Amino acid sequence: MLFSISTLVFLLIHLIPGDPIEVMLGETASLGDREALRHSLGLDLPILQQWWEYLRGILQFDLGESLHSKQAVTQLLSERLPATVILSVASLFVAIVIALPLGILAAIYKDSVWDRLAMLAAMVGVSVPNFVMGPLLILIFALWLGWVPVSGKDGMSSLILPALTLGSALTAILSRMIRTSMLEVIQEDYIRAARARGLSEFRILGLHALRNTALPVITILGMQFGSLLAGAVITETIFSWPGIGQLMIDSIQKRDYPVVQACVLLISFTYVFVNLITDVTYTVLDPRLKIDT
Amino acid sequence: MKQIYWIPLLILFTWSLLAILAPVLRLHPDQILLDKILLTPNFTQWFGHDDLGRSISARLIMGARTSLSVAIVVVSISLIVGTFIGMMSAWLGGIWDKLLIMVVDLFIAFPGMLLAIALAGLFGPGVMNTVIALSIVSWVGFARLARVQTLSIKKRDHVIAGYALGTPSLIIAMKHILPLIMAPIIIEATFIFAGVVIAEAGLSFLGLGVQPPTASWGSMVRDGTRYMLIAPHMVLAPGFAILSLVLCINFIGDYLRDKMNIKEISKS
Repeated sequence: MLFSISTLVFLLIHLIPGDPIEVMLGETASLGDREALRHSLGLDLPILQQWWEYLRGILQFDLGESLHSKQAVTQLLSERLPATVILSVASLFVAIVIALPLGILAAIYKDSVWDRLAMLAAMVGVSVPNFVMGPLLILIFALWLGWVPVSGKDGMSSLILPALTLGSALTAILSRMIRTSMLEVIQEDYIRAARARGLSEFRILGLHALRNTALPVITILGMQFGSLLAGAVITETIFSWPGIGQLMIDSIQKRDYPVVQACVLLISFTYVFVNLITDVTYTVLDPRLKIDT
Repeated sequence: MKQIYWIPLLILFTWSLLAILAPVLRLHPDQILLDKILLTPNFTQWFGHDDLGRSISARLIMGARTSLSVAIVVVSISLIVGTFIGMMSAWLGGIWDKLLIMVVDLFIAFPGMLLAIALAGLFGPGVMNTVIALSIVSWVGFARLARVQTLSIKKRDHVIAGYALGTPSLIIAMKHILPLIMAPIIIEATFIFAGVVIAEAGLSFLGLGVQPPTASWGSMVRDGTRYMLIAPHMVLAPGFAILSLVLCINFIGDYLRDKMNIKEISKS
């Protein structure tokens, strides 16, 4: 899988019209200069050989160097990675903390006003794109109320808005999912049995029901992690958050192909990796499932 | 919420009508009025003016035109191509089917929006390139759905009967399979439509989509973020425009899904 993703990224970048050399040197550059640069970047080699070099590079964690700043791409990535990791973890946290009570309440009080309101909020949450949510939150909490900084990465308070922005869509999807699976679980026999044994409602829902809603919730988290990462690209741009996403957009604008390529690779590898972890988590959470070998 | 499904329909209808009628409305979305720069909303201009003194309401309508036309083209292309490929794959089976599953898995392994950003960045900005980038990302959903649906219908009695009677494959596919798989595909189309509206605005927000002076909601939001303190209406107006359109489409999709009683279709 990782191999085919790498190849797809390579093909996308190399088969697309547009010559990085031309963009870097401008149209007035002499033919000699162009050829010299092309040679030094290895872009004059046959495409198959370039592909081979590229795959070998990935295996050795050598992603070439930036066309622009001449820094090693791996170094650029490792400088930016922590910020993106912090942001994604924070927004996952936000999503879970908000969605759990919301989804559970909506399920318990099904068809009540609370349920309707929660699901309406979830619908709005799915429909607000990051780049609308972000400026809205900035407007309200940073400019009008002045509680948090507008943008940048400076301590915990600057993390709040980006995390809320990035987490909003996930929160919405998650709370809908929790409500649906909770509704299913509540009707199961073992819940009725727990009630019959006179367990407290809190114990029934918190221990027996919640554990069984974990599986679909983990699935959704794994599936949505990709959108979360892609959303990080936009969110980082809004809040000038110095992560991988901002690096990618900057590099696209500078036509810095090796860096763009590396960013796309890193994000999609992470996504595949997270999905793998999700699959493994299933068997831990629910011993009834076994991975077929 | 099910009782008020006509409200989203009405809003959607209004946006489409405005978008279609834009040329007759004598709008001047590119007219620069230096004395009206960053003017806040008032009675003659409900949404005020932007940083170049252009009328925001006119630009909103032109933005609706951009947004809706991109979404319609992308959804039509990916629906036709995706459904065709998905049906063919299920119909032919064997190596073709395996090949499609491989391609689909590969695309699904990629976060869609990320691929769109990367593609748009590589193709260079512009409406045409945005359409191409978003179509490349969107057809997969239709292909996967059409494949699964066709597989389940392929073995039904009426299809086998048609086969036994010597009906040409094309007619079986078009007349006896396609109508039965259309319902879930149309519902998928509404969600993909909403997704494309967001994606187009997102690309324009990043400066990778529609280029100025053409109005797009995404680039309007981006321009507005620079003046949020003095002219918040520049962000709010296009922001709520996107929200209203996407929300309405999602509502309609949900309504259709409940109405047609189709199980949760994966929203990817």
